[in-house]
Amino acid sequence: MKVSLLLMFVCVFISACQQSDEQDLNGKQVVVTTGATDNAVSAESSSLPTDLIPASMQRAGDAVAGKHALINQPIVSCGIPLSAMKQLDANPLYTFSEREGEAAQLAYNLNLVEDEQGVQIAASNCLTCHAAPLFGELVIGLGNEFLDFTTNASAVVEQSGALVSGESETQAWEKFANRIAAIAPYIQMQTAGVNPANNLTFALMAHRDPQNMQWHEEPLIKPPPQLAPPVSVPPWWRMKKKHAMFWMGEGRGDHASIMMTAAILCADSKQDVQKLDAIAPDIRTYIESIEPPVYPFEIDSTLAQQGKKVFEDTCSACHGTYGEQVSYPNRIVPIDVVGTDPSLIEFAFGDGQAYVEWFNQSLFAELAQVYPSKGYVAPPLDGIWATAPFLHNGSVPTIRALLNSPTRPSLWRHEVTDSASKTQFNQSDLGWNFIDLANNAEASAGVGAAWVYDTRVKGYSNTGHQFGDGLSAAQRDAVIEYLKTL
Amino acid sequence: MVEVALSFYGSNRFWHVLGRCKYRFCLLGAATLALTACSEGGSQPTRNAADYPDQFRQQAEVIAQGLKRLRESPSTKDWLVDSSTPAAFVQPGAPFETWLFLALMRDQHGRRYAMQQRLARLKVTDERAEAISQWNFSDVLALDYRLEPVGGHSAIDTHTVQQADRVALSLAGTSAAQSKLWIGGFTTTKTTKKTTQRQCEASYSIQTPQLNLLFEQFSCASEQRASTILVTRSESMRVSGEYRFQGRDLVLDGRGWLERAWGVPPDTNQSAVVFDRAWLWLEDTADIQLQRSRRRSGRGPMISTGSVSKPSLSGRSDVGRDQTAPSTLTQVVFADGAAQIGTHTFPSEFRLTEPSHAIDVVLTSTHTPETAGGIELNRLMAVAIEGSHTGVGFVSYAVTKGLTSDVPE
Ligand code: HEC
Ligand code: HEC
Repeated sequence: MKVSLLLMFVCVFISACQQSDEQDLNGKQVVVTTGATDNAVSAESSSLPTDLIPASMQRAGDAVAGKHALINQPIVSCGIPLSAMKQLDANPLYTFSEREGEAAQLAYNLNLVEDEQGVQIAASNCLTCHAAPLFGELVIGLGNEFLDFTTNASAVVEQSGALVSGESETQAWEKFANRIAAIAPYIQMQTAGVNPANNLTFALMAHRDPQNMQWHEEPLIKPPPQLAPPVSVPPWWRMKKKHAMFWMGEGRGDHASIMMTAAILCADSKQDVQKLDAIAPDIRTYIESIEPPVYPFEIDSTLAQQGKKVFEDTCSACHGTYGEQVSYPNRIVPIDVVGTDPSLIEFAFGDGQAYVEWFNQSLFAELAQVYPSKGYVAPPLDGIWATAPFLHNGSVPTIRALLNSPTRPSLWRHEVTDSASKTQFNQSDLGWNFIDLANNAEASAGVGAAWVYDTRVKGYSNTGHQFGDGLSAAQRDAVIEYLKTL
Repeated sequence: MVEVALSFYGSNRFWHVLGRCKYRFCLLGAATLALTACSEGGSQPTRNAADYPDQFRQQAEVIAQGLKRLRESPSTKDWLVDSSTPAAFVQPGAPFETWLFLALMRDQHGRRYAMQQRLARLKVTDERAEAISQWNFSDVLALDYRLEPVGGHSAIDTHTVQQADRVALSLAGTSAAQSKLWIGGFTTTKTTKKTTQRQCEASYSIQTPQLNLLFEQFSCASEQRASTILVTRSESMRVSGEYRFQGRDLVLDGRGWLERAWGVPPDTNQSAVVFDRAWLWLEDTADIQLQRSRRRSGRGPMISTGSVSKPSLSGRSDVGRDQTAPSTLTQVVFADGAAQIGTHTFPSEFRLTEPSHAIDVVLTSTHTPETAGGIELNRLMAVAIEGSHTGVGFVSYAVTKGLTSDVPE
C-alpha cells in the first residue's frame, strides 16, 4: 500500500475517514488511520517524505573546556556594568560555585567580562534561554519557557542605566543599551513564555555587514517584522541526535559556527567572531554531552511498557526509538503533513530569505549553511516531559492535549511563571498547570494578562500534529506513561 | 524594580538649611540622596559654607559622614526585610528614610493649588556626632514644604518652609508608637484603619500653621526595592482639608500621593540615566502617574511609562473604595517643550500624549526664571494642565545640564 501521508492526514481531519479502512483519494490508494496499532506511518515508513537530514562534519572539541567557556568567557561582550548589576540582583538564586572571584556571585546566566577600558561587565550568556530552574535545581540545557518578553526590553535596560556611574561605566553601558534599543522593537512578544530569539538574531543581522560584522546604525537590509514569531526554546540535549539545528532544520553543516550567531549582539569585527569561533567547538561538544533530567515522580512501568509498543507503532517513524535500540531519523515533516503553525516557514521563504542570504554570505558560512525547509523537524523526545509547553511555538500546554487535538485549549493561561514547584506540575498530562480560559473566562486571578496564550494570534496557532488523535484513551495513557521514561 | 529607588526626588532647597554647596557634604548629599544639588548656577545667590554658623557646618559634616558610612558599609539587608511591613510608619532600624507627600487641590471657587512636603530622617549617631555637638544628637529630621497657587491666580502667596532639626532637642521627633513625625509647627500623623477588612487603608494628616490636610489611602502602595533601598509608592489618594491664613478661608479638595523610602539611596549624581516623573490630576477624568527615563548624555531613547486610574464617579472627591485599579498607559509620550528655564537647564513646559486615552495636554510649570531658584538635581515643580483635559500636576525633572561637579576630597 502506497500511502501519501499528506492525504492521510487530510483524511484524519475529516471524521468520516476514520470509519473506513481504505479509500481512494485523487486516484491514490490511501490507508487510513483507525488506531495506533494499525498505523500507516510505521507500516509504510519507506513511503514517508524522504527529507531526512544527513549528518555533517562537526569540529571536535572538549566538553569540559566547553562548559568552562560557556560560563566564564565573553560570549556576549557587552552588558550591564557589574557594579550596577550587583545592585539590581544582589542575591541571585543560582550561581556557579566553580567560578572564581566576583563571577562566583553572579547569576548563572551572566558572565563576568572586562571591556577595553577595564570596566567589569555582567554580560548574559547562552543560559539565559538555555537553562531553567526545575523543581529547585538549575537544569542546564533545559529551555527556559518562562521568560517574559512582553515588555519593552529597551525600557528595562534604560532603567538599569540609573545605577551606572561615571564615564567609563557609562560608555560600556551605552554600547549595550544602544544595541538593545536598536533591536527592542523586534523582540517584544504577545505572550510571556515564548521566545523571540529568531527575530533577535535577524534584527542584529540587519544592522551588520555579513563579511566584516561592522555595525551600522541604519539597517542594511529590511528589518524583520515587529510581530516576532513565537518560538519555544528546544532543550540542548537534543543536539546529541540532531543533524541540523532549529525547528525547521535550517542550521546545516558545522553547528558550532551557527551557534555563535546567538552571540553577535556586540561582536563588531572579524576578530570578535574569531574569538568566539575559537571556543565554539568546545561549547558544541559540551552541549552534546548534556543528558536530559530523569522523571522525578513515579512511573507505572507496566503501562509504560504498553506505551512503548504504541509509540513505536505510531510515533517512531518520525521521532525515533529509545531504550535499547536507539534510532532517530532526523526527519523533516512537510508543513502540510504536520499542519502546525506555518509562520516560521512562510517567513523563511518570504522576507526571511534576506537573512538566509545574509548568513550564507557571512563569515559564519565557511563551514555551515542556513537551509530552511518547508516543514518542521520531528524532534527527539528525550526528556520531553520537562519541556512544556509543546510544539515549536509553545502553543499546547500539555502532552495529553498535544496527543488529542480537539482538547487543546485555544485561550489559556499559565498558572505559574516558573518551573520551580513540583505541585504545579501535572503528572497525568505532562505539563505545567494552566487555566483554560475559554471555559473559564472569569478566571482572572493569579498571573496577569501577559501570561495568556491566545492561539488566534498569527504565529501562535495550535493546529496540526494530530498524530495522537487516533489513539484510544487507554493507548494515550500508555504513550504518556512511556514518554516519562525517555 | 529599581527605578523608583533611583528616581529619588529631591531639591537642594531641602538641605540648604544645613549649608549650601561648595561643601563636602554636598557631594554625598547630591550623589547619594539626590536630595541636594551642590552645583552653582541659576539665580539664587550661593553662599559659602564658611558663611554658615559653625554649628550648621559641623552638623552637615556629621551628616556627610553618616551618609558616607552608610554607602560604604550598607548593613541594610536585614532591616530592609524587617521594615517592609506597610503598617510601620517610623522605621526604627532605618538609618535614612523619607516621606514625600504631594497634593493637588481645588478650593471652593475652583482655583488650583499644589502642596509638596518632603520629610527626611537620618541617623547620624557615631563618635563624631558626640564629639562635635554640644548637645548629643542621634537623628536629624528635615522638612521641605511648599504650598503654591497654580493657574495664574493669587488667592494665596507661595509659602515655602525649609527646616532641619536634631531630634534630641525635641524640636523635632519621630514616634513609632503614635505614628507621628514632627518638626517645628509641622506634624504628620498616620492613622491605620484597623477596623476595616481591607489592608492598607490608612489616612495621613498633615498639619501646618496654615494648612490642614487629610490624605486617605484606600489601596495598598506598591513596593519596589533595589539592593539597598526600598520604596513604596501609593496609588492616588483622596485629599481634603482647609487653609486658614490672614482671613482667607479655603476649603480644599483633590488628589494626593505618598512616596516612602528607606535604605541607602544609590548614587544618581553621575548616573548614565535619570528619571523624570509626573503626578497629574486631570480633574474629574483620571489620575496619572508617569515616569520617563532619559540618558544624561542626551542620546538614546527616552522611554515613558505610566498608569492611569479613573475615578468611578464624576465629581470632585470620588477616589475611594470604588476607584478602578490603575491600568497601564501603553502609548504614552512625555516630551519636553521648548521653553527653558535657567539658561537651558530645564524645560518649563511639557507635552503629554496618550492616544488610547485621548489625552493630549500641555503642562506648564509654575516656575519662572525669577522664581526658579538655584539649580537642583531634581526639580519638583507644580504644573497647570491645559488641552484635551485640564487640571493640575507635579513634574519632577532631573536636571542634567548646568551642573558643575563640585567634588571635594
Ligand atoms: C534569547 C534566547 C536565546 C539565547 C540567548 C540563546 N539561544 Fe539558542 N535557541 C533559542 C531558541 C528560541 C532556539 C530555537 C530557535 C529555532 O529553532 O527556530 C534556540 C536554538 C538553539 C540550538 C538548536 C537546538 C535545536 O534543538 O535545534 C542550539 C544548539 C543553541 N540554540 C545554542 C545556543 C548557544 C550556544 C547560545 C549562546 C551563544 C544560545 N543558543 C543563545 C534561544 C536562545
Ligand atoms: C509524521 C511525523 C510525526 C508523527 C507520526 C508524530 N510526530 Fe510528534 N512531532 C512531529 C513534528 C514534525 C513535530 C514538531 C512540530 C512543530 O513543533 O511544529 C512533533 C512534535 C512532537 C512533540 C512536541 C515536541 C516539543 O518539543 O514541543 C511531541 C511531544 C510529540 N511530537 C509526540 C509525538 C507522539 C507521542 C507521537 C505518536 C503518537 C507523535 N509525536 C507522532 C512529527 C510527528
